[in-house]
This record gives sequence, structure tokens and C-alpha cells, in this order.
Amino acid sequence: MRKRLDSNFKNMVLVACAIALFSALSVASISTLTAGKINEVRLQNQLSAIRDVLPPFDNNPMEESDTLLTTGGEMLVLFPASREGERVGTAVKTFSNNGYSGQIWLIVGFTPDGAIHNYTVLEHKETPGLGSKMNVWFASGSKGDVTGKIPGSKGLRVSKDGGEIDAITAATVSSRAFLDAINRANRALDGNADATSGATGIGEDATSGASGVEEDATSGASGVGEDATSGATGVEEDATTGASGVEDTTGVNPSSSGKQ
Amino acid sequence: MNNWKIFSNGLFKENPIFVLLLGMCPTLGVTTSAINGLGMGLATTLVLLLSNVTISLTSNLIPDKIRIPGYIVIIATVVTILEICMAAYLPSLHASLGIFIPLIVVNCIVLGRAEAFASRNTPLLSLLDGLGMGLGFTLGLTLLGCTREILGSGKLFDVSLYDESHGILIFVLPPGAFIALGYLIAIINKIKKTL
Repeated sequence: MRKRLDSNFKNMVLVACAIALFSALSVASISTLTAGKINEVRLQNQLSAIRDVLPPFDNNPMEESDTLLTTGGEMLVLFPASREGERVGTAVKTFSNNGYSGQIWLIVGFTPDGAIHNYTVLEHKETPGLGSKMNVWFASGSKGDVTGKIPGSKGLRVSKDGGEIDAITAATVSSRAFLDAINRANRALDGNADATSGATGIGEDATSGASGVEEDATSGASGVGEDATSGATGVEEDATTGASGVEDTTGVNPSSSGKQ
Repeated sequence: MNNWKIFSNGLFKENPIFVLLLGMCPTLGVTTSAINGLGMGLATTLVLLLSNVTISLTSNLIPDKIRIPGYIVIIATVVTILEICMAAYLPSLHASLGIFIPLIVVNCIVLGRAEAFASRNTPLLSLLDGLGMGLGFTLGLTLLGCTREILGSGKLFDVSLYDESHGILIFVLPPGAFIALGYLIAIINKIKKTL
């Protein structure tokens, strides 16, 4: 073994500081150097995602985009697209908190009559091989095809909940979350980011304004199915302990338990 | 030890996955498909190469008592820089591997090689060791990924082999990773004995 610097106090402090400084400087400089490029890539990805979900257009939807804030602080972004001055559809960047793990982000394209043209999954952390299939499962020609469907004011639901969309096999929670994101986008088209109006009957919506804990409680309950009462109690408890809208949550509790 | 021995050590004799059983977190977590395993393996190989060489060059300057934290900071820096560069210049690769890259920091095979090999050997030998260990890791991850993908979802490298609905779901989930890994290690030990 080669000779190393002595482990005395001075050496250790100096070397530790030197390593930290060197690391910080190199990461910072690389990050600054690539920031422009990364931003460019992100914009390009967004534009190509918008292209994927809408009929051909010739404007720049990102310049005309419109942002809605939910009470949870998330941003829903509307990208209106037009061709030769005529509106051909709107892409909506939307999300759901009801996934099996973490948030799900989608871009959904709607044609002017309110029908879904196409969608792209931007980000999710669902179980690989189960919920992760959502990027193909709901696509045109697949089992859970949502394209051409009009969510309307009632919203889309999985067949288990009385809707017409087939859920991904063994991933009902992820499927519900996916449709939750789509319905949220649909409501955003009407300019309502939180859109409590759509909440009746769909448990997911109940929690849209509330904190993560409550959402987990609700989605947990919907996953178990038979456990409606305990799930609902969980929601209530969480609401009193910490949340933004106690009234809100208690108000919709019946609907989340009624759903079970 | 000659150069070939150092290189092949990581591939077979001390394969990180099948013999050393190091770096189990990414091994079990990301090997749901062959391509994921391959991607994670190659990304780890690149990190191993860079971190081994850096640590071999600087090991004389780092006092013994703070070498572990020092190595961790160096490895984390290498991984972060790699991730930023990937995001900027290889966006499609970054999109498919993005979530695994930060995991490499906590992969004990990287720290293990830094401590056990790179800090005591020359940069050239450390480079060879990193390459061998990295490719051995890649081999292990890819094999495990293939096994799980074939059994779990009826595909191999996304090419369908049989109807997906006949796949054994558990092999795609975490418990399946343990089961598949256990049997793979048993088979490899058996082959080794007969050789």
C-alpha cells in the first residue's frame, strides 16, 4: 500500500473541504454549461408530445399556453393548437395524485368537440409490468382505448366503477388514476383546475385539493374495495389533523365511501 | 496478477452479482426487463471506470480516516455530472434510464471497488478492474433481466415470445427478483462445480 497523508486534524479538514469544494465547483459549472441545452431538450420534448396528441397544427401552442393552478400548487397547462387560424384542439398537461406510487403526469389532446384525440404519459412511477402499461393500454386500438371518447361532465370511469373503460389487468388503481388525470384535464378545459363539480361519484376527485396523506388514504381504500368504512374514516382523521380543506374533504366523504 | 486476470476477475471469479452479491438494490429493483438491466449495467460500468480512475489518482492525498466520505462525495459528483450530461446530450437514453442513474451512487459495488482496489492500485489497473467489474455487473443484470422478462411478461428485449397473459406476474414484481436471482446463483454454482 502506498503512503497516504497523515490522518491529523488539519489534513482531514483541509482535504475534506478541498474535495467538497472541487465537487461543488465541477457540478455547478457542468450544470451551468448544460442548462440551456437541457431546457431546449425539455421544450422540444414538450412540443413533440403536443404534436403526438393533437391533429396537425401550424401555430406554436407553447406561446399561447394558459396555466391553471390547483389548490395543491400543481400546474395544469393548456396548449391551444390551431391550423390556418382555426382551432383544431387543445393539449392539456395534467396529473393525478392517485397512482399506486407517486404522481402521474400526462399530456392529453382534445379536439374542439371535447373528444380525446390522443395522450402521452410524461412521467409515472407505477409498478413495472402492471400500471406502467398505461402508455399503451389506453391507446388507440388497445383494450382500454380512450381515444375518441368524450369525458363530458361526468368523466370517464373504469368498468368496475360503472364506466366504459377497461382497466389494466391487475392495476385498477393505476387505471383509475389515469382516468382521474384525463378527467382533470377535461375539467381544466372549462377553466376549472380543481373542479369540484365533477366530484360526485368519483372518489378520486374528492381529494384533489387535499394533502398527500389523504389521497393515499382514499386510493388505499379504493384498492381494497371491501374496506370502504375504514378507508373513509382514515380520510376523515387525516383531514382533521392537517389539511387545507377540512370542509371540502368531509363534504365529499360520502361519495368516496359510496363509491365502494 | 497480469492485466487479463484483473479484467476477468470481475467477469467470472468475483462476479459482483453472482459471487460477491454486491449492489443488490439496483439488481433487484431495475431488472424487470432485459433492456433495463443492460442499460443500468452499462451506466454503472461508466461510473465505475470514472470513479476508479479518479480515486486511484487522488488516493494518496486523502487521509485514511476520511477516505470513505471522500470517496462517496467523489462518486456522487461523477454520477451527477454523468446524469446532467446525459440529460443534455442523450435525452432519449436519459428518459429511459433517468430514474436509475441516481441509484448508482448508493450501489456498494462502486464504493467497494474504490475501497478494495482503486485506492491501492495504479490508475491503469483500476481502469481494468472497473471495466471488468462493470461488465460482470452488466452480465449479471442482463441475465436476471432476461429471466424475469421471459417468465414474467413473455418477452425478450421487447420481442414477444408468447402471449403476455400467460406470463407469471410475480417475476415482474420484487419477490420474483429474489426467486429468480436465487435460482440463477444456484445454477451458476452448479456449473462452476462441474467445470
